[in-house]
Amino acid sequence: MSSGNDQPLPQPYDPIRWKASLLLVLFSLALLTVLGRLFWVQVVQGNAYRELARKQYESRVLLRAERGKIYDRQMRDIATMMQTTSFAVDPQMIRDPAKCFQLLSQATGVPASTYFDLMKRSEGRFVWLARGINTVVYPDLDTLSDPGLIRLREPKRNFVYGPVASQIIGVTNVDNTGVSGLEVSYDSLLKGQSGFVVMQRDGRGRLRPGVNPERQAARNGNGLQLTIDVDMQRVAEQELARGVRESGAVSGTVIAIEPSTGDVVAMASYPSFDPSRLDKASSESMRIRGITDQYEPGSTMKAVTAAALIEEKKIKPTDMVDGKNGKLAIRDGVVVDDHPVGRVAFATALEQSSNVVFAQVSTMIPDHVYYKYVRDFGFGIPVGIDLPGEVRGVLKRPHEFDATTKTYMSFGYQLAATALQIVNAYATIANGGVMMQPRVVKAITTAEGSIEHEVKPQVIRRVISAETARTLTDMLVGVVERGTGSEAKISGVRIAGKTGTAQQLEDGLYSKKAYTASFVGFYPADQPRIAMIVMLDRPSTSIYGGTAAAPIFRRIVQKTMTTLVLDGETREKIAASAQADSVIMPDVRGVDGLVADSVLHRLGLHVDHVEQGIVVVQHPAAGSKVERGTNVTFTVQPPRQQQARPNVIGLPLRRAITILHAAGAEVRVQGSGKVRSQTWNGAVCTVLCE
Amino acid sequence: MADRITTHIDWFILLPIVALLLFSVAFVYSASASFADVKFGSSEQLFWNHAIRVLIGLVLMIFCAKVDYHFWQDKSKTIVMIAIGFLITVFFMGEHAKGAVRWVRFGPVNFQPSELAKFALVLHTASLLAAKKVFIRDWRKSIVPVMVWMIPICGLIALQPNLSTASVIFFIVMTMMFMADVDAKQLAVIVVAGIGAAAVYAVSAEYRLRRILSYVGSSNADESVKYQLDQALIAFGNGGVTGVGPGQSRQRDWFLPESYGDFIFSIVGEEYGYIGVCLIIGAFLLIVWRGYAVARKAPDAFGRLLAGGITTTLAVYAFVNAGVTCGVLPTTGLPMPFISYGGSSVFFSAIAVGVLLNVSSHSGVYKPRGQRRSNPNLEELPTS
Repeated sequence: MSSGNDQPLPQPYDPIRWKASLLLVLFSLALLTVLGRLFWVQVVQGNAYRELARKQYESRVLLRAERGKIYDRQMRDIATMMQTTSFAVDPQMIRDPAKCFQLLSQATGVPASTYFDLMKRSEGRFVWLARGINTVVYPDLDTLSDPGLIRLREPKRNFVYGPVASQIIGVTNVDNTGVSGLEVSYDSLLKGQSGFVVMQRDGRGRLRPGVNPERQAARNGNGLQLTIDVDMQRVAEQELARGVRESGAVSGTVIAIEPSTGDVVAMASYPSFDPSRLDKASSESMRIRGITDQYEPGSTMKAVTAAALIEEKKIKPTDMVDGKNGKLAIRDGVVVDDHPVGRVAFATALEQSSNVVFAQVSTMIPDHVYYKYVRDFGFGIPVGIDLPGEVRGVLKRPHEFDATTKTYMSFGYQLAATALQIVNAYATIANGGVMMQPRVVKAITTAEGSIEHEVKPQVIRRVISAETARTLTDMLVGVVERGTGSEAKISGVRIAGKTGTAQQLEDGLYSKKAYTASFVGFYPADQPRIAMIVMLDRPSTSIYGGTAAAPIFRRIVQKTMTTLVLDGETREKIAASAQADSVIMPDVRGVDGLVADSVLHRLGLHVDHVEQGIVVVQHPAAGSKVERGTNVTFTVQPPRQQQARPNVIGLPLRRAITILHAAGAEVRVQGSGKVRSQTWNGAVCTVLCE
Repeated sequence: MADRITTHIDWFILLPIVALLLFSVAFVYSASASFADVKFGSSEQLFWNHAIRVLIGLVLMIFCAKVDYHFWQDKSKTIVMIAIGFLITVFFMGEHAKGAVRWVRFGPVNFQPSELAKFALVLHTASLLAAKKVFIRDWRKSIVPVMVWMIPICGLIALQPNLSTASVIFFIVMTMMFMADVDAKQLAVIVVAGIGAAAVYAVSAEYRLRRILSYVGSSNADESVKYQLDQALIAFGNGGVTGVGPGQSRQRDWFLPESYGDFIFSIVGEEYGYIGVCLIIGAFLLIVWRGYAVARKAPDAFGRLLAGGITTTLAVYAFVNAGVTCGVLPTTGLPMPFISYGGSSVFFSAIAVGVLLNVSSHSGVYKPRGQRRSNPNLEELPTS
């Protein structure tokens, strides 16, 4: 080296030589320390950190199983599932709130300014806007894309027939768990098995689908085929509501059973509720009163007493009994009749519902024998129907009987029973003396709706002989033809039945104001298809079973005869008698056009122009009273077009997957990088990458 | 005079630096993609910013490599005064970020005056100490003039507050004084005084204390600092030996804060694995080795101190940044030279390396003493 600038050669020794070397060594050691530390982190501990990484990248997303459908006995959908969408907003990410809120406002009817207020008032990054919107009806909302608009898909029960059979079907809570009705008793079957898919998340918690993610498909819940007939159920509910209104009763119940199988064809309770308006439903309106409420049955019990006496051969219908003109003094009181009779045949005493006669004839059999018959007819034991909340009623044991217990029991006091217990006793008579197990589920279906397991009708016991049953049936026909049940009479149909008007206990005393009015019977008497009870709690304008309950019974029979499988002759007669009737226009909005047509057709309404698609507008409006044969018009939303198949060729894989998932496609991936080609196979899109 | 200078290019400095700068474009692209996508609506926003800055940086580096380093010797005082001017400006028109004012905005350009100040102080300290070489043992003539500049600069930076940069600049100046052969005892007094001042300053603000506590593993730690370090370690660990592959980082998806800035080294570790990390650290070792070689062999005291100062700056920044990301050092906000996203850091690192290259071109590092290079011209330097 010659010279640098003004420095002469040779340079004097500069200690920077060794000091720079020292610094080099020190910094090299420092940097090697870093490498040593990273060897530990990356190589030795690498697997532990990779596990930590995987945990924070992956998020198991629950795939909800779809809850099983509920069908009526003719496999018509009653409760299905629909996809609803709930909307929330992330105020920091929203790009075009005006457009989003405008569209939401169209769907909900809530002014867009309300959503602006909601967004402004909240400090969080997740603000609920609207829940449970059926986006099938508002497709613009479904396709709206804004990074700040958060959508949550929430399956919701769709009740095809609106509030019909709502108490029996019951409701589910937000966790998709049944809380009442069949949703509880068959919860595990209906619920199915949820699955999962492993999604990839980022540090902000945003999820996106990964490539070929680990997934376990959800197994959708089983369906249920009910024994309920929707038509009969609807008529029962409508007529019960009308009857309760007209009689000024507090509540009421109707149960119709098929005697030969125990199938509950209809089971109505009033007050009822609309499952789509749960916020307005009281717990009162959700009870299945036919099994949760027990009453002293009153005169309907006389058939059971008569059955015991006839079966024990203590009396025949033609035997003369003394009605004592409606007044009988017994040990602790006086038995009084509403329809006093003198010396008459036993059958006539039943027709006129003479308490005096039954108080006397009940003494013909000992307590324990009478008790055996009452118990065998199902009193005092739960019926064991597959619905939650059943009570057993009250039946004293023979050793608890006092001197007059049997006397009172013979015409329906000093014991309590549910409407189902009473109607099942009559169904037993209708079924030739053999009691069947009442049930509401006919079969368990697969998720797709084919029968998986049929529930066989089950015999409980023979209670009385077929002979006795026949005798009783004739006597009960007499009640309708000639006696207190004449309000239930329909020309052309032989109806067997019995009225009941029971005073209710109030503060330990029998009230002169609170009554239970009931009518229970079966038809056609010769070959019974239906046993039915109508029970009204505390009617006020007309307190008698014969005047308040029997007409309801009659109207239901008239309106449903056409739909039930009957012999042709009877059907025609009934159809003629029901001709002039009007029907309540059902709400068919949200239902497929073809389904709506068949529903309306069964009601005797005529649809002008049937189209496939979801009904959005109907005329006449739901709930209005229309004559049979009225023309109904409705507007449908055409079915959604073939699922879009977005073209993702040339896009980065990640974006392609996101787009395809958003379009509802299942994605299979080969390779990585940009998408070179894509092939469709149904909803499955296979993308080939570079 | 030019014919008396032995010129050459030290490829062992130039090539690793060019490689680091070019690779940093890929690193920043990947590390910033998720952040930029959400913040700017384009995942390429920061990538383009950085790519342009790297290009400007390369031009600046080559330009400075062609400027005779003595050019800086008598301009250093002016430059350091400009730097102090900017540092004062920060307090009046600075941009606030994360509770500190470290930036000044000039139109579209965000400028970090502390980066200029660091470079200016290294220049001026080298200049001062070279001039006072004869009186180096007289503290009034050697130490005091340096302190006159260092104390206001470190003080102003510490007040931003940016204690880590202030401490590192203090350390660099001390190292330069050590290399200039300032009396060891006098130096020790200054170091102790500096550490004392820093300690008082550190405990005077809660966030600084908590950062230190989180380093020593106290439960009183700053949660966000602990989270950031944990995420940095997950990035390294997830990378393993070979890495997850270029552009495949997951930690940058909002898991690791500052993934494209002070913690970009973790993303490099994640995508390129231990192998990549070794190559980066290896590149810095090479640069530091050659840098100190220049410091040993530069033709004059100014050149030697300048090369030593610049090399120390690079070494300290590389070590502190890497050490922070892997948890060897407490969390501080120093960028990794040439790698991290940030214009000021890229520009002043490039200028500093340009100056270092020029010193090296005068030093004849390769040649045995006395041997001349055949081609004495500077034309050998790449021009593009």
